[in-house]
Amino acid sequence: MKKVTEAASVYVPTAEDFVPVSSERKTDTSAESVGGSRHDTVKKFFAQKSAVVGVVILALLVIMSIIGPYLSGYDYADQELDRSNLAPKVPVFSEMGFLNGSELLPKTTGDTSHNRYEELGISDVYYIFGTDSLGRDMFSRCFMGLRISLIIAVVSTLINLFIGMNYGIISGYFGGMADVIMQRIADVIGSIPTLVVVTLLMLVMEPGMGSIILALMLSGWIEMSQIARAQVLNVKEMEYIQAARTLGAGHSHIIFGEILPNIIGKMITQIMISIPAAVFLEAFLSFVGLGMPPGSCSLGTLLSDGFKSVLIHPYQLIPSAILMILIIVGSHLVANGLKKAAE
Amino acid sequence: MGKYLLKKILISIMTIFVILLIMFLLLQFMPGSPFNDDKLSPEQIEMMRQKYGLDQPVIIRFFRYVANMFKGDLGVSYSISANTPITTLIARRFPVTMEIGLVSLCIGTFAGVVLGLLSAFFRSRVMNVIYSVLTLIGIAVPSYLLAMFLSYCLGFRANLLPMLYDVRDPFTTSIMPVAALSFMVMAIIGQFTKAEAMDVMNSDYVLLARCQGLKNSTIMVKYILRNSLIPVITMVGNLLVGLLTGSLVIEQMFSIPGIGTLLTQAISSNDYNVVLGLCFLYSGMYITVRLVLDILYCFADPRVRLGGTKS
Amino acid sequence: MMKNKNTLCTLLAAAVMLSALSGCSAIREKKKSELNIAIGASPATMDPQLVSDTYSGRMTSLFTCTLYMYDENNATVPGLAESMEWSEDNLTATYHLKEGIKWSDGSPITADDFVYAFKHLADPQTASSAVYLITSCCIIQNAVEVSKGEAPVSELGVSAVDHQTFQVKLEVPCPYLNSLFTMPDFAPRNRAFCENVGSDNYATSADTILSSGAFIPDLYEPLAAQIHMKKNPYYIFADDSDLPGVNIQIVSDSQQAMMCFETGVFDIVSVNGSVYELAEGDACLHDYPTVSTDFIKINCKTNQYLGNKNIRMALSKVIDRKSLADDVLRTGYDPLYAMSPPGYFTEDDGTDFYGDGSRYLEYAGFDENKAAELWKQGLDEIGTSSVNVKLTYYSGNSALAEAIEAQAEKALPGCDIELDPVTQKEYLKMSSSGDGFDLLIAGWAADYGDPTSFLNLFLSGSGKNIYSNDEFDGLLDKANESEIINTPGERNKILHQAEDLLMSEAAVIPLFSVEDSVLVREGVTGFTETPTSAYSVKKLDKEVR
Repeated sequence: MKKVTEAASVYVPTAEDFVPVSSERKTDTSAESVGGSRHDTVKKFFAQKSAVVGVVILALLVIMSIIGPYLSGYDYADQELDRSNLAPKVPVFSEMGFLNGSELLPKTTGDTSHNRYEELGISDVYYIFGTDSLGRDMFSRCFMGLRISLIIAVVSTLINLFIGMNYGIISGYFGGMADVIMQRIADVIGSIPTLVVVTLLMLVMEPGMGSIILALMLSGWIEMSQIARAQVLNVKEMEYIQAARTLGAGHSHIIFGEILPNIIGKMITQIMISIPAAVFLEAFLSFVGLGMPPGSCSLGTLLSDGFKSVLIHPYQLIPSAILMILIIVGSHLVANGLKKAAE
Repeated sequence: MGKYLLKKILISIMTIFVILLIMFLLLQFMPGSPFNDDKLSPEQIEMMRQKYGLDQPVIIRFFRYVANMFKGDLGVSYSISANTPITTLIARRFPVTMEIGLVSLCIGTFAGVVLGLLSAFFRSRVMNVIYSVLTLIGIAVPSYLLAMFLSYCLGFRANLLPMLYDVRDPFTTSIMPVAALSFMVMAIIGQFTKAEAMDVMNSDYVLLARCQGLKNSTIMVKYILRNSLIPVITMVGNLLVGLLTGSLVIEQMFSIPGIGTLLTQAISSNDYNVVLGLCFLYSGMYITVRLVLDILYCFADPRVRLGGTKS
Repeated sequence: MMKNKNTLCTLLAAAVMLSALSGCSAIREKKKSELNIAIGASPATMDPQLVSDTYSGRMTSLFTCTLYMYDENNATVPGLAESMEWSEDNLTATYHLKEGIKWSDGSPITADDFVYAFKHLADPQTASSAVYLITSCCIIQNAVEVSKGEAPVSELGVSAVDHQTFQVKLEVPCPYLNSLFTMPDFAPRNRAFCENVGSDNYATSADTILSSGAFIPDLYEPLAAQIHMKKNPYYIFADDSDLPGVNIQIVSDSQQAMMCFETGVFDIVSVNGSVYELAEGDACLHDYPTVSTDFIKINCKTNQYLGNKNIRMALSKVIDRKSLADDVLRTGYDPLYAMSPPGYFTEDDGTDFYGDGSRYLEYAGFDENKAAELWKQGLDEIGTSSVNVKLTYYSGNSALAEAIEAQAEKALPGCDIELDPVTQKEYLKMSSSGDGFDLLIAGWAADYGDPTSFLNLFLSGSGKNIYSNDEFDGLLDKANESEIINTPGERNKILHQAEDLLMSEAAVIPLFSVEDSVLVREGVTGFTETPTSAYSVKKLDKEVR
């Protein structure tokens, strides 16, 4: 911001400057006011090792969620009842006596190790992540689940962003009575604990992706709107906004041309916080029995299914748990990096 | 100031009523009725509905419910524990959940503050790794996974700690659930404390103090500790509510007779009154915590007070 | 601020240590001599007259004793009753109580306690969901009117002839009355005690329970996670066992229960689902028949395709029950080809009513070719080339439903099964109303020792609205006629006819009979599960090592 004020102090305005802004001009001003620092932010962001790691993790997860379900050659929903509960078996490792399809059962009569591949006479078959109790390939299921969970999280976060940002900007920008009323409404909705909103909604609606997104949406936009509003209040009084206003720019120009680019950084950080929260909440819903319907597959259903047999077949839980942890770690690192870069 | 507080309190009360109304209406759309039993005939179900007044219109039931609420009566459970007053059910369970929640909160906060401050002061490589690993685990690993892990290792394999809660021996039996829950608190508080402490350490007044030649320990206690801890208090409220949520699965795992297990049971058997009572309790608690924090913050920070009166 | 927090934490830590050291060992010692049981859910009620679910039944049977009871071999034997006799017309049953039977406070159990209990069960004020036991399982005189509030409670056909003699009047003969009366819902109720604590408060805490059974609850609250009971010295069979008490813990997570069994915390744990793999082959693992049937309800009335007998039978014959039981469900299920499961109902000569099931194989036995043939015949009769039906099930059964879908669609050309998972609540609603499904995977447990417990489901007026056949209704009516009851072998013959009719019409697709697998630690004696899934407590004991 300093840069702008200095520039303004040496700049001698000419008559040209007092012509109402055109659409071309709009990009110019915003680029000048924040564009430079934005470039710096990107540089600063990528200078942090942890942030880069975060970006790589997230990128890999997204790529795997797209191609993962097709890599193993088994469909995620195909059941083969006679191949149920197979432990992970990986081509190269199995030669070394590691991940070779044997598992240790803590039976009541003592720990016993066995290899179901050999018992079933299918020693030439490989399931990298093993199979579940219905003989479905865990590898495909995990990445399919990742895909569904990411879709739920991203869609709900984007909707939240859209609603929250508009709400916050309108409330903060126009102020006055509108602001008071809108804030009261947000206060009331925001005072209902997420747990309660989500639980009640999921009870009332049919279980499914749409209702989970809606439930996540209803509880998530408040925070977005608060951040947007706070940012608007901050930015609103800045010199460049007042300058734009003096130049006769309309509300929409100021909101979309001047304010929006300035709060987008904060919003991206908030997105990176919201996405893992949504993944977490989705998983939690599955645990309480309010998540995705049975038969479908998301990280939440995989986790809660795996959890039910973690003692017997821990490999049915571990991959999906790791995927969820990776989502959270990745977004966390990126969010942290963004915060630091913005400082 | 007084006006500001009064307004806050009024809004909170209003909010609670709005929530109650919304919940009441929502519950009308729940599929099924609490009297779902293969072996009940339709006439018997109708009789049960009459007995509990469920045949009345929604709005009458709502006002009746609110009126009873003022008398401290939240109705009775229909199905999970026939005819037991909800207040009794909650009164028995709430302390257990609170106890575990508060102990986890205290331990987690303490550990988090220590972790945050240590990593802010000693910026060695080792410390940084410890800090990052602990906070990442706390944030990324859900408490139920942690609990399962603890339960398997310490309870099952090593047979050191009991795996189930026992009302006659609450202390030893709640070590594992508390440990699982407090990890998340530790991570969040740790991060927050570190950020605050770093801010304070880089601030002008600490620099000034250093220039004045004050001892390191004095600076640490008088300036850094104090100023970085006040904001931590504001985190505690949200964390407490978060803990109550997180404890839902934990309570089920360790068979803890808390409100979390009550809620899951009530949901699965359509016991409207219990769900309503609990949602009301959660909301009420959440709002109260927020109100108390607002007030505390208002006393602690004059800027909020002034800003508050203006808006 | 900081300092305060520090001291607080130190104090807390110290408190934890101290109590851990002092409290723990005493409780552990006590637990060793007692029987420790893990059950899956908290009992919904401890009031015997309100019991309608398995868990409540299990818990109440620990502190109640009924007129008749099951022995270790699941035979119906006298409990509080010494003997009973039927009147000439089979409509009046007179029970003579034993001498010296007492409540846990030492007062005598009299016939009036039974009258009070039965009237309480029938009272519309009680609104007990178990009232069907006296209005449809057996029909006590005026019970239907009393339970609807159309007649005063005093009109109920039960009376105390004297302190020792209790009489029940029925509207229809009921040859299985004694086995019905083993249910805790028919346990005596002490009038003075109930009026003292308030009838609605009865059994809402350990203090408000008066025991007539083996144990006295001394730790209980509604929806408890833990229940503790001590020995009742006044129990009529108190001398049969030295067990000082039982300690019951509610553990909803079956893995957690299993880990606790392995570490020695529990003596008795139910094993279900995937944890079975861990217990497989263990000498401590016992299977108890629960006398319940899993079956597919067919909505013969509303679905145009399912109205056709050949289509129904094709669907029944296409299901390979054995592979489902072995590969999908793994434990606790045996293939079943009729509605009444084996192991409980007997012929007059003592052989099993179900037998080996071979007589039903013609209608329900697995045969893909025959099924396809019937299917084609059915399609021709309806005049269509494809059939679309919805298979509705509680979402916990999804593995089973998906497997059934696969088997049917593979062998029956033109068969399209649409899966429709529903929540437990919706399932129960559909199951009791008979609406909203084509095919429904359902379960039913016996209430008493007679095949009609299952067959009555298919009566036209049963309110379940799925099947009606006048011939079938007529057979079941005939089975309750007095002269049939008094002619040995005649009644079962009629019941067999009814069941054969049901199966030959393929009015239902039976799937499995259900067993309960329980891990019972070595040293525990006298433990068995009754046909109604309660625990048999008479000789329950534990060897302390």
